[in-house]
Amino acid sequence: MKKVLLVRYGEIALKGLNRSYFEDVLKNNIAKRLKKYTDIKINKAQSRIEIHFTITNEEEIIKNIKNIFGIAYISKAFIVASDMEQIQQAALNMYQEGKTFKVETRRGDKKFPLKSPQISAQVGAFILKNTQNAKVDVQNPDVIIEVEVRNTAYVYTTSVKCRAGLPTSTGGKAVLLLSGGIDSPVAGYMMASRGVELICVYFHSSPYTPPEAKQKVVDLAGVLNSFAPGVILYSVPFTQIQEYIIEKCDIKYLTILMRRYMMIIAQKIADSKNAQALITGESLGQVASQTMQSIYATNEVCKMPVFRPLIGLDKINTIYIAKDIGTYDISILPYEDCCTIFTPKHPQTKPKMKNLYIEEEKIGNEMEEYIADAIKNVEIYKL
Amino acid sequence: MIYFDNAATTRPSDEVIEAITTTLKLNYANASSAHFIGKQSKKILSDARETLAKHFNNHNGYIIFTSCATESNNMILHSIREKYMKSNKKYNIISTKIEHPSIYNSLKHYFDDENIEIRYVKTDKNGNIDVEHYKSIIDEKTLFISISHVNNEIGTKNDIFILSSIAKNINKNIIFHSDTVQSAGKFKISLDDSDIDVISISGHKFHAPKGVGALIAKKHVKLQPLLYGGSQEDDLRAGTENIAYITGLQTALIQSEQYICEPSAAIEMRQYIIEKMDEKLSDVIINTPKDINKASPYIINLAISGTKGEVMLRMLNEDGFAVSTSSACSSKKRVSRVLIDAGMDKKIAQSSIRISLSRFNTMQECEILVESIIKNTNRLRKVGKYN
Repeated sequence: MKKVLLVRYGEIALKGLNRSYFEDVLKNNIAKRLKKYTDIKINKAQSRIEIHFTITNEEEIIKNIKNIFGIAYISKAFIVASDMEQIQQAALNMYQEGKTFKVETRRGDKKFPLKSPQISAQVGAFILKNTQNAKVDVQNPDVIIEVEVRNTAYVYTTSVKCRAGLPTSTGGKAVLLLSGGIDSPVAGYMMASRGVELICVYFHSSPYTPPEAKQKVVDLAGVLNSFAPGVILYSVPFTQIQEYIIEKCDIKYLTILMRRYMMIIAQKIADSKNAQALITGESLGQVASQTMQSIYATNEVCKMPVFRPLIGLDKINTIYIAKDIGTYDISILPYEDCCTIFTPKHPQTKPKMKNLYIEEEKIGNEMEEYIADAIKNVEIYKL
Repeated sequence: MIYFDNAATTRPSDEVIEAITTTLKLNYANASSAHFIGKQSKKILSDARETLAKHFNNHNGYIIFTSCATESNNMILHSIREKYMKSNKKYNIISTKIEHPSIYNSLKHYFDDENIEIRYVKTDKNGNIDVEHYKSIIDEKTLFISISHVNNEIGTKNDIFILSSIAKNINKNIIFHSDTVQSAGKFKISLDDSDIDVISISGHKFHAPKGVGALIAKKHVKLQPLLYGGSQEDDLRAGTENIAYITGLQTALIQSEQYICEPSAAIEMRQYIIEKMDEKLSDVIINTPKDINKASPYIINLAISGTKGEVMLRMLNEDGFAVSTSSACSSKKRVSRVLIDAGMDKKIAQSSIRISLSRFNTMQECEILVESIIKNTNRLRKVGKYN
């Protein structure tokens, strides 16, 4: 009888012929997270992933992998042969004296001679026979002893609920426009939960913005990396572009013009990294630059899909998710970012494209140079 | 990097580093040990004490070596609390709202008592003390006065010799303390021929290293230790003496004496910076008193409208200059307490920077600093109305 951590998945289980691909990616993502532990072996086993260990503490393993997308539950299990005697003994070992219990069985191996209710009944009887005060309570038990009979059998009582979703990189690669605010990390998290590999792009306005503002974004990207391993952060110097727009254009259009150039730069980075979409934290109507007219104007420069997972979400819900994933406390640190340092008193909330084009005509060829400079001087952080 | 942040800390001089290194190599023995090299350490310690006694003209009093001025300030406040105050008796203590946090915050800590009133002397926007108000709040219940010699943010120099004398004329029992961190090693400070009873100093503000300071008090001041243990420093500061750094402090002080007599280079540099700012830029407010008799030549605090001090600091940093803002924090919510308490408008406080000099700075460095400030001011003012 051996202890094992049993990884169970949610949505992957519903996949058809390509399920194996999703399982392999998940297994690989788990392996990457645990590579520092040399005693760990990871096996794929009939819609489950088994994590075998000899020295490493199981709680430590759970802590390391519980945020990996694709995992629905992690159970601390005994792994035994598909044999009633061994299953019963494992269940007895799992049972804690004095608690009411019930046994639930899933029989994956349909060739197993007993059916699920029969297995549960026999395991229950074995526990009752071999303990002093055990009592069955099928309505409201203190503990549920779960038995899974497959090629081998697993017995477990404790499961940690995880984040489910799809394994990172199964959903393609996208560029997340990451600011220091509350919304964009949440948007990144939501898309990452659909298997999207994230390249974060942060526009900094140093020296107008302090180094702490950049560090804040590095920390936010670090949190996203704990969910979707492999996050890379590109910190793009944006000051020259902002100063140039201020010099040339009507300040009312500053924010919208800035956002158009951010999209243009983000797409160039996406192209260079074979990413196929952009992700933003925009939520309809939240601020001047997120009215439908403003989003239209921003979107107009985009040739690739722009995912805006928060578009219909109330701020309260966004904050709820931000707190849950651990980005909220970082996001509310009071350092200014590139979007807040230069703000017109009366920004254009319903920009007309015609006027926007007039403003853009004031922008000379230097802008191409500035964009090239910004991309050339990007700082890259691997998290 | 050209260093203009000497009010924060100074670069130890080569001579100081050499003195420390030599002491560390040759005189590492504990000054309390009875063997020969222990006695050598004791001799070094007493020589250093003698140098300080002579320098600060405090021949019969205490020279207590501490780790820094914050410790010295805490020690005198603790002593006043423990040795001078009787329960149920009412007292008042006088200070200003623009003191360094090691006085301002510590006063609130040590004297949080309903029988003790902390009275703050009015100061103007340049940090000058309202002497009439000062006179009016001293009375027979005044036990202790703590007023810094030079304000660390604005650079205002108070005449502590006159202020202590005014205080003693009203109530001779007052203990007059001055935090002289920004003035020690820069101006002549004399205890024996003044009414100042006790001062705090810190080595790293005048080219000694961080980690060594002193509390210098006249003999009549009753002191109470902060740290208990061995009998070092007349039973007033337990802990093995940091002989090497004390030697560094001594060397720095000896070196400083020629600059105390001849501070003209600093005065010229200050004058140049202030004049050029006024001449080349509009709307510059010099927060430091323009009258050199009321200011330290080593600290220039100025506000440049249409700019933010912290952004200017980062731009100057990119150009290779180290200055500081009065508001050290980059948070958009915080401004310097000292500038606000001096009565400055919040916007002015936010647009202030502090340039602080040392004897290592040159006029040429000041010239290129001024150029950089002008260039960056123009850049900031272009976007200033949106920023």
